[in-house]
Amino acid sequence: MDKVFDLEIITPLSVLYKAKIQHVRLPGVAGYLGIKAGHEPFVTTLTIGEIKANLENNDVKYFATSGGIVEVLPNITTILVETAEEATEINLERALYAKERAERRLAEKTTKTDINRAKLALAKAENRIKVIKKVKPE
Amino acid sequence: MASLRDIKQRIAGVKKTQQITRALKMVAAVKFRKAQQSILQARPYANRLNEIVGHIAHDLDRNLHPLLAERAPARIGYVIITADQGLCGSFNANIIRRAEAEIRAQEGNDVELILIGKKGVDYFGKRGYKVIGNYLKFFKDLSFKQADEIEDIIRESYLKEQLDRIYLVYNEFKSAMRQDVTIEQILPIIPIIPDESKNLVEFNFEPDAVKILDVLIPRYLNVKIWRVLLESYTSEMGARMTAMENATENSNNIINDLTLEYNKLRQEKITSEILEIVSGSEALKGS
Repeated sequence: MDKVFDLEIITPLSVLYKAKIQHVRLPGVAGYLGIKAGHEPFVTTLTIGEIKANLENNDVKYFATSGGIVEVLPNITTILVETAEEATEINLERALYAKERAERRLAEKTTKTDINRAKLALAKAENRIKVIKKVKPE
Repeated sequence: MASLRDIKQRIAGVKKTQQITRALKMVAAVKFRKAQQSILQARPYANRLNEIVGHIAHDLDRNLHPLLAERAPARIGYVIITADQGLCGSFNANIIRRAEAEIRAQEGNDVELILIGKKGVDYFGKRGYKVIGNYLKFFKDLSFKQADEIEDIIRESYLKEQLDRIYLVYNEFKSAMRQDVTIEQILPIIPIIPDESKNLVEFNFEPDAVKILDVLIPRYLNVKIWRVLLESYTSEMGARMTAMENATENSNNIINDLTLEYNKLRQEKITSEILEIVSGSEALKGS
C-alpha cells in the first residue's frame, strides 16, 4: 500500500469530502495530473473534469467538477472547486437534459456569449455523464 | 400619585411595546438561523482560499503582482460595515467606536471611508470624513453581486494608487450573544507562512504564478468580502434577536411591577371606601 495523505474537497457551499487517500488524479488545465503522498508543494488551476481518489482501503471514489484550484502540500492536498459532485450523487436524467438543452442552444443561431455559455454547459453535462458511467456502467 | 387609570394605561402601553419587540425577535430569529447556516457553510472555503493565497504571497516576490506589492501607507482606506437598522444592542455603536479610534490613530495619513449600512453612513457622513462610497440597503437580499461591487472599488483604488492600504472593519460572528469587532487588512494581501512544513521549499506553479494569481486574486477578494458581509449580517441578526429578547423580558418585569402597583392601589382604595362606609354608619348609630 502506498503512503496515505489527507485530501479535502471544498466548495463554496460545503466541505464536500475529507479522507485519507493513497492517490488522487485531478483535471489540471494542462492535462490530468496524479498526486501521491510527499508530493512537492505546488499550486495549479483545475478545469472541467473528473477527480479520482484512491482511498486508504483501496476503494475508488469519483467526482465530477467544474474547475477550481488545488494546493498540494506534502501531507495535505486541498481542492477548492466551484462545484463538485460525487459520481453516485449525480442525477443522470438532469445531466442528459442539460446536455440536450445545451446542444439545442448551440444549434440555434444566437449571440456569441450565449454560444460560449452553451458550450460550457455542454462540457459540464458531458463530464457529469462520463463520470456517472464510472460507477453505473450501462 | 398615579391614578388607577394612569397605571392601567401604562400597562397597556408596555404590552404594546412588548408585542413589537416580540415580533422583531421572531423575525430576527428566523433570519438569524438562515444567516448562521450560510456563514458556517461559507467559512471553510473562504478560510482555505485565504490560506492558499497567503501561502503563495509568502512564497513569491511581492513585486510580481501589483496586489501583493506593499507601498508606504500614506492613504488608508477603511471599509466599515454597520447595519441599516438599530434595535440591535451595541452592534452599531461598537463598530463605530472602534473604527473612529482606529482612524484617529492614523494621524498624518489620509483616510478614506467606504461605508456599508445606514448607521455608518449617517454617523461618518456628518462628521467631515472623506467618504468614497456609501452603500445602503445592502443586506436586504445579500448576493455575490454586492461583494463584486465592493471588490471592484477597492481593487481599482489600490491599483490606481488612490489608496495604499485597505482594511475591513466588521462584526465577526461568534454566537447569537457575541460578536467581535474585527479589523482585517484586505489589501495588499498579507502573506501566511505554511505551518505544516517549516523547511518548506518553493511552491511550483502551473502554468505560472502570475497567471494563477490573476485568476485567484479576484476570486479571493470576492470570497473574502462575501464572507465578511455574511459575518456582519449574521452578527446583526444575532444581536437583534438577543436585544429584543432582553427587551421583551424587561417589559415583562415592568408589567409585573405595574400590575403589583395597580393591585395595591386598588386594595387601598377599597379599604378606604370600606372605612368610610363603616365610619359613616358608626356616626349614624351614635346620633
